[in-house]
Amino acid sequence: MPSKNEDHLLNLTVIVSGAATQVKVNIEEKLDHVAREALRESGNAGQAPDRWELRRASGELLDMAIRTGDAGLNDGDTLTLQPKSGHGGGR
Amino acid sequence: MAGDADVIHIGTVGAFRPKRPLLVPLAVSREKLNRELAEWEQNRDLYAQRGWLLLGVDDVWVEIAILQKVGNTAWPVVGACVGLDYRNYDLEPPSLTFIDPLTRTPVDPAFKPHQLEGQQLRLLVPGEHPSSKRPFLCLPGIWEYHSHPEHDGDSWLAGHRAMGAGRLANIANHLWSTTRIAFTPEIQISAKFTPVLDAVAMQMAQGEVAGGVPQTPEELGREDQADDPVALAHDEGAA
Repeated sequence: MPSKNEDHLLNLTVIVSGAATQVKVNIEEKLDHVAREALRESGNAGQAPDRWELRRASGELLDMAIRTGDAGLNDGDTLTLQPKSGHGGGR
Repeated sequence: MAGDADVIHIGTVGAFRPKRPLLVPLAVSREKLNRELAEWEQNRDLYAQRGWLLLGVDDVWVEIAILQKVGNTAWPVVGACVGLDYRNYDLEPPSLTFIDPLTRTPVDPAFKPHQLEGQQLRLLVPGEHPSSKRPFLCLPGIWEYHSHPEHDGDSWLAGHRAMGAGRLANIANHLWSTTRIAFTPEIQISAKFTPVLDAVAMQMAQGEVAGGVPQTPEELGREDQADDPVALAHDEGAA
């Protein structure tokens, strides 16, 4: 039987720039912690999460300031994490 | 070769790739691209849900299409279709060419990617690139952006490469998120899709259809189907 602590953990697959990585996070943590963990696990440690965008598999953008437990995520869900497109266009 | 990735190699694609001097052995760039393709294959179902389609690969040239739905309708359209040249990757970012999804030849894209910068909507296809003389995607992570004289202070090697800005999935994401298509009232009023049957298409090609596309079996000369409830229901549903 899982401990109460385990109940608060979610196993997520985060596809970082195309490469899948596994993270285990507490639902009390904000989503930017998910991004930070995924960046660290994928060899992008030190990158600022606010330069990246986190999306559900469906493509819906997630607000990284909200609690993981409030994002409606389920254990085993897949998310994508990709750099925000830099500023471009004509000058 | 695509290596582990199960993708189709088409010999004719890539014929329009921009000419760039070879700075990195092709085998190196090819191996790096193969990794991208293998990852794409692993995530293919998720990408397909978003409308990201890998059309073909030829050596270090990749073609992808981004399907979008128009507003809340069920109409899928090609939001973007591009060829990416991974020559010199990743000493240089990939070069991007907008292509026609049918002919795979360079085109001025029907839908121009846009980006919201503050409160301002910014066009990401500002005109022709001085080297290629073709419309280009003006975004970091694309060779045409970094090689443009107006962006010589924003080097590919100064952070963009480390963030993976030129990776295949990230370029697909940028194209997808910048080509969403709204269903505007103007389109709502004027848009009408009518089925075109082979017989009509042939007449249209021969310039024999005057006054628009025929709407009824009688107009089509299909008297044999005038009593066919299925054919009539189909026509009525389309109109």
